[in-house]
Amino acid sequence: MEDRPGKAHFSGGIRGAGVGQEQKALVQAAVISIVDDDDDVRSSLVNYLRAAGMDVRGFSSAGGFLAAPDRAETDCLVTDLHMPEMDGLDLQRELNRIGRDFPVIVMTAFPTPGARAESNRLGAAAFLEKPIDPDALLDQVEAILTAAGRTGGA
Amino acid sequence: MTEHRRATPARYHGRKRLFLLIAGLLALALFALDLLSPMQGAVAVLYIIVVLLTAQAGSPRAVVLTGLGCGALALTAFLFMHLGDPFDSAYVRLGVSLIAIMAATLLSLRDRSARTTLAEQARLLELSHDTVIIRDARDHIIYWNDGAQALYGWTRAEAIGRHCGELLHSEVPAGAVEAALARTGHWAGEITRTRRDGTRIVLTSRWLLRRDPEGESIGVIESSADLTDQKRADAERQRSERRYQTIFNGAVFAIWEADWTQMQAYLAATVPEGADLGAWLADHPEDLHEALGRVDVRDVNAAAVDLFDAPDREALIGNSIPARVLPSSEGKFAQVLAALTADAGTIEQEVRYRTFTGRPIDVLLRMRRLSDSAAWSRVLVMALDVTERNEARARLEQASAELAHAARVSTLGQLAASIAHEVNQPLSAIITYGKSAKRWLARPEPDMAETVNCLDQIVANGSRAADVIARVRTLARKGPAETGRLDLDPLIRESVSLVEREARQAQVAIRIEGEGADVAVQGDRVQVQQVLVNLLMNAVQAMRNVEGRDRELRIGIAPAADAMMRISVRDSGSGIDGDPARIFEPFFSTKADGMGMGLSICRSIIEAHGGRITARNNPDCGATISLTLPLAPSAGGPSGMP
Repeated sequence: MEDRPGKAHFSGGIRGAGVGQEQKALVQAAVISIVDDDDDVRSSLVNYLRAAGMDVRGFSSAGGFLAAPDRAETDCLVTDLHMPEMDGLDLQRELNRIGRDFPVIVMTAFPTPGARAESNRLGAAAFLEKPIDPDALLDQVEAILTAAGRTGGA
Repeated sequence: MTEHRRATPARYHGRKRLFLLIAGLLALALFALDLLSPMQGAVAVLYIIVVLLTAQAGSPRAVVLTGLGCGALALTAFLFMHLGDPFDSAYVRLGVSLIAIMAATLLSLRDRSARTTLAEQARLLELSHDTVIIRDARDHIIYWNDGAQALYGWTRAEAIGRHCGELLHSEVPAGAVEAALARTGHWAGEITRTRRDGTRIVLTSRWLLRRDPEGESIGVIESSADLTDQKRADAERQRSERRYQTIFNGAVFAIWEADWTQMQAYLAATVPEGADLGAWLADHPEDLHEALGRVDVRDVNAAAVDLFDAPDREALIGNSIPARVLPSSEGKFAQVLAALTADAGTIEQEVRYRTFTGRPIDVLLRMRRLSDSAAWSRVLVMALDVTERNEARARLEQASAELAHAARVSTLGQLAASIAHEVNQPLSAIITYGKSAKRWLARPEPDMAETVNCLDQIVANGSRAADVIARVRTLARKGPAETGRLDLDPLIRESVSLVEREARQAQVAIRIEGEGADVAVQGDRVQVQQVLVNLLMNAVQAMRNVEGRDRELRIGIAPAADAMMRISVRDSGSGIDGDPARIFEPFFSTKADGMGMGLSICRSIIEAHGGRITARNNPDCGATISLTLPLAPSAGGPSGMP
C-alpha cells in the first residue's frame, strides 16, 4: 500500500468491494472537496456525501478551490473535467506542480479516450462518467481513501 | 314670289305714307268727280284703285276702313245726286260700285295675308342652313337660297337659270326618284354633288314635286343637308369601333362590358341620402347582393369565355358573371362600387369566382367607366386569372416554411449534444438528491429538514430539465409563422442559453451589451430565435481556432431608424474572406460538411419580418452580423426606445 495517493493507478472504479464496517467508520469525517461549475450537480453531490456523514466542501471553479485557505485539509478531491477558465486537467497539472497529498477523482459528461488517458497520466485516482451514480461515487471514494490509508482528521 | 325685295324699314315707311297720301287724294278727287260731274259712268268703281293703293301700304284695318270709307263716299255722292229718283240705272251703277269696292277690299285683304305668309316662308327658307333649290320642269334653277350659296359656292346670280344637274354634277338615283315622285309626290335620299371648287359632297335630300293648280308637275322643290362631315365622322367611328372590337376580341386576358344602369338605379333608390356608400354596402350585404344581381353584361371576349370555362359567349351575357362571384368575395364590391361612383378612374380588386365547371378561381379585376356613353351604360372590366400565381405563392411559402423548419432541425442536431447535456445535469442531480433523501431518512434519527431540502432540490432540478425541453421544443416547432410581440431581453437570453454550453466548451465568453429591457419587437418567436441561435453558433464556430487573444462574443442591442431595433452579433475570429455580403447567398458555406442554407434562410426570415441583415468585417478582428427587426407597436406607450 503506498502512502502517496497520487500514484495510485486505477483506470476504473472499484465498486464498493469489501469495505468493512470499521473502514467505513474510518472514512467517515473525511474531508471531501467537490469542484464543479454546474451548481445543481455540485450541490446534490455535496448533499449526498454529507448524508453519508462526510465533511464536504463545494467549489464552483478550479480557481476557487486553489485559492481556498483550507485546501490542504482535503482528503479527496472530486472534480469535473469541463469547466470555463481552468478545466479539470489544468487543475490536475497545477496541483501536481504545487504538490498535493490527496487523491483526485475526475468526472465528466464527455469521456473521450484522450481525456481519460491524459487524466490518468496526470495521476487521477479514478475517471468517472456523468451522470454520476452517487452510490458508486461513494464506494469509489471509500475505496480510494481506504487504499490510501486515510482516516479521519487532518 | 321669285325675288323677294327687302326694303329697309325707313324707306318702307316712307313709301307707305306716299301710297296712303296718294290714295287719300285720289279718293277726294273721285268723290268730287262723282258728285259734280254729269258723267253717267260708274265713277265710283274707280274707288277700287284707292283700296288697292291702301292695301299696298296700310294695315288690314286701314284697308277695311278705306273700303268702308269709299263705299260711304260713293253712297253719299249717289244720295246727293239721285235721292228720290225712281229705280233706274243710277241705282244699278251704285250697286255695281259698292260690290266692286267690297270685292276689291276683300281680295286685297286676302292678297295681303297671303303675301305675309309667303314673306315669312321665304324668310324661313333663307334662314335654313340647309340648301333650298327650286327647279322648273326642265331642271332649271329658279330659286337658290343662302344655304345653297354657301355650300356650293355659286351665287344666286350665277345659279338662277342654270341647269341644276349640270351645274352641280348631281349623282341621283334617277329611276327611284322618278318612281317616288310619281307615286307620292316626294322623295328622300342621298345624292352626291360637286361643289364649285371641285370637292364631291354627299347630301341628304328631300324633294317635293311642284304642281300647278291643274295638278301638272311643273318642277321640284328640294331641301338638302351636307352629310360629308357626318359621313366622314361615321366612317371614322366605324373604323375606331372595328379596331376596338379587334382588340376586345383578340385580347389575351378576359374583357367584358357591363351595363350598370339598373344597378345604379337600385342603389339610388335604396341607399339613404348622404350615406357613405362603401360603408353602407358593407353593412348591408343583402342589398349589395341585390345590386350585383342587376348588372347586365353586354359583351364578352373569347378569353372571358375561357376564363369561366363557359360553353359559349351567350352563357356569359346577362347577369351570369356577377352571379358567379363567390359569397366570400362579394363584400369586396362594396368598395368597388363606392370608388367608381365617386368617380375614381380605374379600380383594381381581387375577387373569387366559381367557373361553370365549379372550379374556384382567383381573378384580378380592373374596372373603369367608359365616359363616352350615358353615365353607367358602359363599364369596362378587364380580368386576369391569378389563381395559379396565388397557388404558386402559397406553395412557395409552404416550401419556405419547410426549409426553415429543416434548418431549425439541423440546428437542433448541431445542438443535440449540448441539449442532451443540459438535460442530463438536472437529471443527475435529481437522482443524487433522491438517494441523499433516502440516506437522511435511513439515519437512526431521520433528518426531516434535510430530506425536505432534498425534495425541494428535486423539484427545482426537474423544472430546470423541463425548461430545456421547452426551449428545444420551440426550436423544433413546425408550423406557419405566428407574429406577435416578442420581448427582446428574454428572447436573446434564451437563445444564448441554447448555445451556452457550446460557447463554454469553445471557451467563448458571451457578453450582452445595450438596453434590451422593456423593448419588444414584432415577429414570429420561433423564426427569430432560429436566426439568433444560428448567428450565435456561427460566431462560436468562427472563433474555434483563435489563438493568442480572447474569444469574445458580443451581442449588441440598440435602436435603429424607422422604429426598428438593431441586434448585432460580433465575434473575435478571423473575419470573412472576400465580400461579406456573399455569406447570405444560398449554398455558401465555409464548412466542409456545411449545407450552406442557414444564413440565406436567416436573410429570408429577417426580410419577411421587414428588416435587413448585413455582415461586415470588424476593423480589429472578426466580423459582425447585424439585423434589424421592427419594434412591436406600443400599447399606448411612446414609440421607440423607452
